[in-house]
Amino acid sequence: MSQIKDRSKMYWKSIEDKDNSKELNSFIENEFPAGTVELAETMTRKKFLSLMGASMAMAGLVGCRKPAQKILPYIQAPEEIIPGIPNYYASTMPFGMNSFGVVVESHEGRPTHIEGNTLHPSSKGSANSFIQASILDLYDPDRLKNPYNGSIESTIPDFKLFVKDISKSFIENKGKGLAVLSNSFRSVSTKKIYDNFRSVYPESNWVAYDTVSQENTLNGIESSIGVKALPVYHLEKADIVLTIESDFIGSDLNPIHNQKMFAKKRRVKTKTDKMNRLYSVESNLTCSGMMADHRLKIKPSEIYDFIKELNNMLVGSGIRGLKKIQSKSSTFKNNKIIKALVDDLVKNKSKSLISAGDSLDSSIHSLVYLINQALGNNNNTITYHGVEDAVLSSSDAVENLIKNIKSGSIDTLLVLDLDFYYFFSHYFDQDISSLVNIVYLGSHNDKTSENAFWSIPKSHYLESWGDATSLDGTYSIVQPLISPLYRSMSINEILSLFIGEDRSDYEILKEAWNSNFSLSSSLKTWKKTIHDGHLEGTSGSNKINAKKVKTTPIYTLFDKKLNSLLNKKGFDVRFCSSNQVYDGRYINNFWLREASDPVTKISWENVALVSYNTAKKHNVKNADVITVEHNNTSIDIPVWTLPGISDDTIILEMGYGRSLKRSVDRNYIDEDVLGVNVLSLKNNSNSFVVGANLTKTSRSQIVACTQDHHGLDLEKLASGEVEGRLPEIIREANVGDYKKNEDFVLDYDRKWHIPDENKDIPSMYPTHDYSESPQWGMSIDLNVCSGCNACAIACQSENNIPIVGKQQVYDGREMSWVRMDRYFKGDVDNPEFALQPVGCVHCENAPCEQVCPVAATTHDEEGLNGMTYNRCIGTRYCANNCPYKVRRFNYYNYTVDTPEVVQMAQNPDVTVRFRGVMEKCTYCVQRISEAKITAKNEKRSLIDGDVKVACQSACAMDAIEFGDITDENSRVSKAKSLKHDYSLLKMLNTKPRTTYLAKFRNPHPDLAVHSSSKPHMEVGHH
Amino acid sequence: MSDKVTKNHNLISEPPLVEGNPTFGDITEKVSSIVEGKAPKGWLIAFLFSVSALLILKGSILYLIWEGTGIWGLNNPVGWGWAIVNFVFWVGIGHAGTLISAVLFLFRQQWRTAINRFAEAMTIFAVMCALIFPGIHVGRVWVAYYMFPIPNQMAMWPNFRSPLLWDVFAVGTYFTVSLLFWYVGLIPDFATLRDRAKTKIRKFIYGILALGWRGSNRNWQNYEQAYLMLAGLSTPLVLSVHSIVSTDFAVSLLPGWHTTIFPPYFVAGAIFSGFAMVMTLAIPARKIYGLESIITIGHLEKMAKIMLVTGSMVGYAYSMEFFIAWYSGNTFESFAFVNRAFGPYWWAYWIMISCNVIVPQLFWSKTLRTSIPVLFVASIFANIGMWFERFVIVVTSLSRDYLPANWDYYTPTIWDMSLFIGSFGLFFTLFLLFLRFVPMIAISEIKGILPESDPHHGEKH
Repeated sequence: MSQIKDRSKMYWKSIEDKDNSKELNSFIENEFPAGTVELAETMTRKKFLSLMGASMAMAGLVGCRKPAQKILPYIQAPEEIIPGIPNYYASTMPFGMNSFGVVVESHEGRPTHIEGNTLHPSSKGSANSFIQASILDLYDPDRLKNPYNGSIESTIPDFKLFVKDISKSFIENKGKGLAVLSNSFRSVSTKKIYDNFRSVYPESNWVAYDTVSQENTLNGIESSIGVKALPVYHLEKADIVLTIESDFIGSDLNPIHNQKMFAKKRRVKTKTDKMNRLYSVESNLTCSGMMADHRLKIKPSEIYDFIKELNNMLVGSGIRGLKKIQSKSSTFKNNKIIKALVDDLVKNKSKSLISAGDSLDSSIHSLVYLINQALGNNNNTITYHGVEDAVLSSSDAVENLIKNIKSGSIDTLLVLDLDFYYFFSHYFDQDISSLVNIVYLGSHNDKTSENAFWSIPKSHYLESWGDATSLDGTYSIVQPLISPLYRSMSINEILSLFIGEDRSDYEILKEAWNSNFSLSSSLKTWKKTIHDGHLEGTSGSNKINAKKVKTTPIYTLFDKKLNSLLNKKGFDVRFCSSNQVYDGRYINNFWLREASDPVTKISWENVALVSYNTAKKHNVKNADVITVEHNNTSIDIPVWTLPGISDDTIILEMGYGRSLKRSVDRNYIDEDVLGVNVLSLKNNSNSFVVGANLTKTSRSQIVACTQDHHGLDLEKLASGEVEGRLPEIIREANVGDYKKNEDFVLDYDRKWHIPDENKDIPSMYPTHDYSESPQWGMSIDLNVCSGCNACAIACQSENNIPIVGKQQVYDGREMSWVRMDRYFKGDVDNPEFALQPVGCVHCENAPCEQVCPVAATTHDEEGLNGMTYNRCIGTRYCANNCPYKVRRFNYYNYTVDTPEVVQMAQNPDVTVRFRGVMEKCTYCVQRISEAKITAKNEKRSLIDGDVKVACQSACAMDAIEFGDITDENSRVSKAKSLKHDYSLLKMLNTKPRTTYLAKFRNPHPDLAVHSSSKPHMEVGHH
Repeated sequence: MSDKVTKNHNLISEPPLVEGNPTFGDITEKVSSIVEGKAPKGWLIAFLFSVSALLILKGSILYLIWEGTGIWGLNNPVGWGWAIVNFVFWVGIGHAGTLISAVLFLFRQQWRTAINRFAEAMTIFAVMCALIFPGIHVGRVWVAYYMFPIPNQMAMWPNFRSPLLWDVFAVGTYFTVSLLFWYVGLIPDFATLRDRAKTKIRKFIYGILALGWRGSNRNWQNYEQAYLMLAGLSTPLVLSVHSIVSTDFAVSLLPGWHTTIFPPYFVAGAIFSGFAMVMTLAIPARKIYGLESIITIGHLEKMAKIMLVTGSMVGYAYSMEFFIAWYSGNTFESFAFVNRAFGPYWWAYWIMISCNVIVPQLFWSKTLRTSIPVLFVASIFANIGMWFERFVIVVTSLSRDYLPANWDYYTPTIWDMSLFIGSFGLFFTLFLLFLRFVPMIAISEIKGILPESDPHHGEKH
């Protein structure tokens, strides 16, 4: 009873709970409600894990047989499971129109860490932050755990009875009054079930919808070539890349592939290496924009004007196949960047690439297709891939659906894994649940679940069999790693129930693949497919030959759009997907929420981004709450200034403000920090609106930004100082100047009389003996780092780094071992950007070690700067004396209330730290030990590549190399031997083992400012 | 002849160290009666406040240990905050006592006798306050003993390269020697109290404390020798303890900490703050207990002169730091100092400069340095200034170090403040108990500087 007191402050899970009913009291008191057989009270955690292990072994390994769905104890221990030694299984994470092959690390049947699958074409061995963090979603303590009928806890059999009941009547009337709302998906098995569903219920209405969708791209390309297709970029062939409102290495559909291929053309090793040139035209500031050699900031509504200017200048340069677009004056007339761009495009025909962002209008996509065609890029640097096995997102269909719901013509709405209330409730002015019965398959107890007639927990992708197709047509298997933790169902299972089949996800998958790929004939292929995670040789199977198209209709359409946007007053408001919550699906994933945004460095919530001038004009400071108003709807949101945003433009991130009812309340994490839902302003499929108003309110709130804490850098003194320091911290050159001055990284040192080699500086103490192999070291290539945070999340997952919550981040106590430093330089309106990941650099001459009074941080013979947590008393002297400030202190006992289920996500090889203990990057010492033991057992010495640290595996740009620096042939030694390798803060003689490769810029010769005469640098916002 | 001598003597003699020409009996009566009589009302009120503040300290420490160092305003770059500031502040205050009793004793500065007991007590209590902070500021208080070289089955041994460890020894030694020195000086006076005691309990307690003192020639001889030896031992400690404390900073490589000027500069600052604190305590005490004839205006003036000297030394150090930072040509170094004066913590810096450098300059004027109100206010300013000096050193240097991406601002929380206030509670509680139960003036020593005890009337032969 005591837990029910003070209701107003409690998290409540359903209406009954609020009403204090009896069964709910007992429900609340048990973490896992009665009926959850697997988690009954007598089940200890250990036992639970071993049972999970058994079930997984049977599910995962014996793909040729029907996987066992029962949980059994080890009567005979499974062959593959050796306690303490993890197993790795291939699976696939579906993600809208794409899917990523993953390899999941499993400890005694408990998946703990996800990495990319090297065999899979869309992940190529790397994983972005969403993929890495999806493991935490599996163990989300707030997941929906039981089916609910209304607000009453129910069971799957009861639900099945219900479905049987209603499907009978719907089959009779051919599905009239039945509608399904899902995300778009791409899967052979789901598509098959979808087709069956449509044939069983021909008059039903199936609508797919994504807030962040490829609808415009598909439509634009369709109106060019007549087939719906999506572009795949072959950046390894492109010398000139232009991105238009497209974060192709960040939040776009195929980031890992793009990053890998882009890095190939970006990496500079010697002075003879060529480097691609990236132009970025965007209204929002993205990772791609920060990487660009030339970035042109625009207002969202200026996009048509820009495309027109680009088109006309290309026509003017004699590119055939394009037509001049007539219009009045242009903002971009005589724009230097566009001039340089056109020059480059013309000179690099068929070696350039123009990427248009998915959010752009379809008429732009058609025209960009045309331009790519005219430049000879199509079929060369860009291929187009069909989407036959997909169900596509359609905003028109959604509008229709909403109309139909309003008119009462829909009786039952099956919502598949999509928070209907979050996305659409602002379209309704009456109670939705009175209009339609919602049957909801969802992962959380969200608004939709609260109002649904039935809510069914959705299985995580690591809990269910399935398949997904990647952008390039690779057919991939979604393999479960663990039996469902709760009484959940997958999309395939619930659909099969509706069509009266009631089969398991494995049966559905097997049957679909048998009929599609006739796999039944070859057990070997099936086994291999499951082992590899995808069907070999299917990459590129859906390629469509790009062809010449008629130009006139494309231009007509474009003209219409171009003229409709002229002379609009007020603010442009652009809506973007979030790097933390995407479209809202990761709202409860605290790893992602806490990792500060790669661009804004803000964690936990969204803000309205405006330019410095706009903020000044409207007299708003960072974190002041503003009201953004458009068409009589308004939202209140804290404002934040960001260099590189156009004036009179507001950038809003979607996906926030999605409220959930939680079953767990944690001490240091304020789960109520949700950000602001901005969807009500975005009234249609457009990614921006024009003519909005900004008004200042009298309020302001705290915003947890991990850099420029409390706006320190706003003052002149600091920005002036940073200007002086940047050449030391980030060493960079124009790639052209590199040829003339190979030793440019030493310029700074020489200016300050710092010796090139720190060898002969005398020391009071005997130096360590570093002669024996291996000696570990790391190299980070700043030239290809996009700041995407994948390494930070990988590290968090691998090293059990605690989540501390918004307040603690605001207080400057974030725990992330990898910090992504971001610097601006140059003009505050059009700055250049530099990013630098900083973890512990493992100094050979470590300042931290000397000052620790209890010798808790010491060097080992392999050059690792180790932390002995048990010995640490927490004086924090080491952190004070660390010039890189990479040490993280457990100010509170952050892990004290980590829910048991979240503990399952933790790496058993890494200690969970207690409060009062210092921690920092260990170079993944557990992985080093594991590799050494393996090598010893195999009676061999370590070879390069035996140890891959977590951040290194995650990095799709391959910016991080790690290995033995005494081995001359190791990749890390080779990287370190490059001329542009430098140590951060070298003059301190700390001799860091992590060194950086300098950053290069590749400006167009006409626009190049040579390194020696670069304008002064600044950081922050002036 | 004798007239002439007297005349000459009067011409060159200083004013008497004890005014009013009291007899030995007067002195004994005056000092002992404070301990034996009823406590004045002021004492009771002050004690009430002090004990309340002490309870705040106790509560704050318990909460700190329960919850963790997160209750303070610390963050990632600023790993040390008020706790360390307070530690250095209190250690600094603890400097005057030993300086007065040991160094001035060796230099035969007889005026010290009026204030030495008082100052030594203050030293011991200040060091006790100081010692609290390094103990509680660590993340895991329950294993703080790892810092001591105690042989153990875990085969752990402290790291002797760490200045924090040197601190443990330096402050520990200083405390031990100061306590012994104080106690040895107290023995004859405890004996006096024992002999005057009227109740059994007093007799018993003071009897034990007096260690069987009989006032015999042999007693006195041993006493004088022990006292001289302890004075000799303490003298280097005066210099060493704050030098070592300063190495906590000087040995690190943080701009603003990594400075060779720190040891002398810290010692000068410590003496400055120590004398300021003696003044702050002595002025009200001499008034309340009517001791103006023993702690004369001359004493206060001398202390003011020392403050003028040390304050100017500190001022010199401040300007030298700036000069060297500029002269080194090291951008990190010069920024650290420019940032102190003009960065986000400018206010702290200018409070420090005003209180420590400008205020003591008043003491150039004889009128001002003999004015009780001026002295009292100036001494309080000096205390504030010296606290801010440590704040400026610890916090501003940490908040903006090498990589600008790390920079952050430190704001103290209520718990930072409560611990500081609480430490004053401990200090004043102990000090008030001292005033109540221990003779605050060294009776036997004062007698030694009365004219009666010098049969040669100042002719030193």
